[in-house]
Amino acid sequence: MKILIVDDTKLSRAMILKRIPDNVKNSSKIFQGTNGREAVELYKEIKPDITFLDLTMPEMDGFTALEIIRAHDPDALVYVVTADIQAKARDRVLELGAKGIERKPIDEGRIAQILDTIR
Amino acid sequence: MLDNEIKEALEELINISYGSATAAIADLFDSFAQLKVPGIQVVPVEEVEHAVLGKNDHRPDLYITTQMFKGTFKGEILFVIDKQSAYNMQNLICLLEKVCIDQEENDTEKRQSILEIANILGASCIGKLAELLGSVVSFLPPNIELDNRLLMDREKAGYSKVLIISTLLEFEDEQITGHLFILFDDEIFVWLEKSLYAFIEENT
Repeated sequence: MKILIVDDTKLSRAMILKRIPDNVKNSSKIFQGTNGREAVELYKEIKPDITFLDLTMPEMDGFTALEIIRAHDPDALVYVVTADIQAKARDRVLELGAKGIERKPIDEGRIAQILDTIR
Repeated sequence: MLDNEIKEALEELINISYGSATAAIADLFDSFAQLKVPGIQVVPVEEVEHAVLGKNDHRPDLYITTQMFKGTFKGEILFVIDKQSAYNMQNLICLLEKVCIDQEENDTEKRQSILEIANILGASCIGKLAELLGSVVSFLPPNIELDNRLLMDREKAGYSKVLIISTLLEFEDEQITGHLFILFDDEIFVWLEKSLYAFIEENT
């Protein structure tokens, strides 16, 4: 499995990485990006099976990156992991085609649950 | 001073905390606020006013709320909003309450609304930060002034250098822009660094 994690802070990327079950981690290729622009570039380059995407990032935010990714690949499986828990932010990312939106810091069990659905 | 790893961790925890705080206000207004990456800087106490309010030439009058918090860690929350944004915010609130009074005539009402918003924003943000760091804080009642300078003499309060965290409350459609600043004094640096290292250790 190819997993793409995009967040501007190393801590947040590490928090997601730590919560991915070891068996998945060992059998997957994990890629990391630090802003929306990198999310788009990496997505096009590696075509990940799943993307964990932050919203509040410099250069290009997650909303814009999500829109571009979904326009490029309507089947893209993107989960937004964010501190932005406004009802309207949730509505917007779901409208843009995210599979789900998760509140930071994401729960270990929830990551396993999400990854189980695509294995 | 804070090293990059600690600074980044603090930025992220503030981002998470401020996300919760902003959602409380955005849902109240039934609106959407732009979230921005928080800024973190350490400045000598005599530069706090400049860092918070910008250059003092042509500085407009601003509503400035201050609220102290104390507990395992302590500091001060400042919420700064210009008069036009305050007017727009009060209009939004009176529409929600369905009772509108002439804004120009009723500064007391406007001040109470700003205090309430500042209190929700500050308390949610610091409360969440405390929770993430396994700590507890309590809040003193906030104060508000309409001025173009910070009145509190922080040198007398025992500050020498100050850690300033700044975030923006921005409702683009409603033309409301406010700035939230969290100030920590000297003795908090050591505690904060230790707590952040513990958080990183536990979560990565």
